Amino acid sequence: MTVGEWLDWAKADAAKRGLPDLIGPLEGLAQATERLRAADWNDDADKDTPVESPEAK
Amino acid sequence: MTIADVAPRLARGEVKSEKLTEDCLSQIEALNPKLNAFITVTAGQALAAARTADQEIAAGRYRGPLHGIPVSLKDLVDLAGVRTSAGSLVRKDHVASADAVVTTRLREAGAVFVGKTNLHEFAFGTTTEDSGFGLARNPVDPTRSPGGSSGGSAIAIATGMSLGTVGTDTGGSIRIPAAACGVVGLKPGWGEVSASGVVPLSRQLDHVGPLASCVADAWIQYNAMLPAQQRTPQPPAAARLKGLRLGVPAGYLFDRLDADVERVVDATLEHLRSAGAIVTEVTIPHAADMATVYLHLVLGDAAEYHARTLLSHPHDYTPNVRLRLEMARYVLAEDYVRALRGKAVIAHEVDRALEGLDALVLPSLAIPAPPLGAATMPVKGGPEAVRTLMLRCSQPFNLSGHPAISLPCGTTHGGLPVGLQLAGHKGQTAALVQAALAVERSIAQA
Repeated sequence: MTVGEWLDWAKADAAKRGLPDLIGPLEGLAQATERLRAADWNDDADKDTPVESPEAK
Repeated sequence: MTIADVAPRLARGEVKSEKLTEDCLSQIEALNPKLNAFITVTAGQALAAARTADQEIAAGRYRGPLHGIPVSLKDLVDLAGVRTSAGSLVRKDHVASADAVVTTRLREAGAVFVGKTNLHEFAFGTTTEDSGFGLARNPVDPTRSPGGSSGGSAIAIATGMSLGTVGTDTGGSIRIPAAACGVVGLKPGWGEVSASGVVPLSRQLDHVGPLASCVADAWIQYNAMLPAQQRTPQPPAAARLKGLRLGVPAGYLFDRLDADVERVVDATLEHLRSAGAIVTEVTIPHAADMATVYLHLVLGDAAEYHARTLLSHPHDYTPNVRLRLEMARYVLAEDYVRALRGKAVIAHEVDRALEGLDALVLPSLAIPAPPLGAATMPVKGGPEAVRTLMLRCSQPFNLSGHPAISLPCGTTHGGLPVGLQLAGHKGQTAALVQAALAVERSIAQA
């Protein structure tokens, strides 16, 4: 699902649920999601994710 | 008054816990109507516990530097027999059946619990304005926010309502109010202090830790919060400032600062250089992606925790927090997983930035305490949303899990506190505290 398709669905759902105030925040979230998807760690799904140092666990 | 100063006097019987506790309760009675730092005050229990502590100390059963010390708990942390509201009317009838692990450890160390402090509802915000029990006010300027979400805890320390306090930090909620109110806040490394018995916001980002009047007091509380086998009997000595290796993560984390905050932090860095610290620039390549990674993780985790009560008690939430939680329910699984990968990338980059250094150094908070109700604040590059600015400098170390501490480093022209943040290596919180002790001492002598 593209971010645009997701946003259309989410806004329609929010309206259906009687939450019109949610439209603005959802548009902000859509911009953040666009940015997240554009991050370069998404470029190669086969690439290993860095392993956090064990002290963090 | 600090714990480090008063504890030896308590041990010698020169000061009584009952008197200390009465003094804190008097401060609460005098100031809480104005500042709203406490949701629940446990005066009767506290005075009884203080008398017991005095009897134990007099009988030669001194437990250590927290014995008889009045301490408050963010009202997200369970205290057996007392309501844990999480700052929300959703939990107005929830009484804790047992202590949180951190409460048990502090109780065993002899702490006297004076009450539960106000917070941004469910810790889901940075200003302590959206609380089911009313907004809290900054003691330096009551027209401003104390920061959050542990706003009540920071007020309690700044005003002597308690000498120690427990906060939580998911994106900066210990360090932000510490900076805004001019006190010290220590976020330990992730998982160091148990979060069992603490209402979660995001279990993978939540940290439990102390706020305090000084770095030594933060250490005393942190040490008592650890499992017994990890505690050390003696407090760490300050590191030598001369030769201390500090890395400045230039770029994103310094790009959108209030002019006064930038001036104070720059002057502090220059002072540390002149005192012998080796200050160099480092980079965190994906720093600009931190906010979006953080957002998707905290929304996804909060949506899971609140799913049932959003359906059963939607109108018991404050409007702003309810709206953000409703938004959280729309985060897609694939985006949550992208954020998980980003979190690992950022943690790795913070590790790399710390190579060869003792600590990273940066502002704790990009702006001074914002006016209550402010949606945006002016910063370098133009106005920006308060929430984004509040989290900007602190959330990297929630994503990465590194320990970080905020300590006061000066004030704005208007007299508002500015916080300096140090972040250290994972598993080396004691070394971070040693560096912070050195920096604190040097700033005091400046």
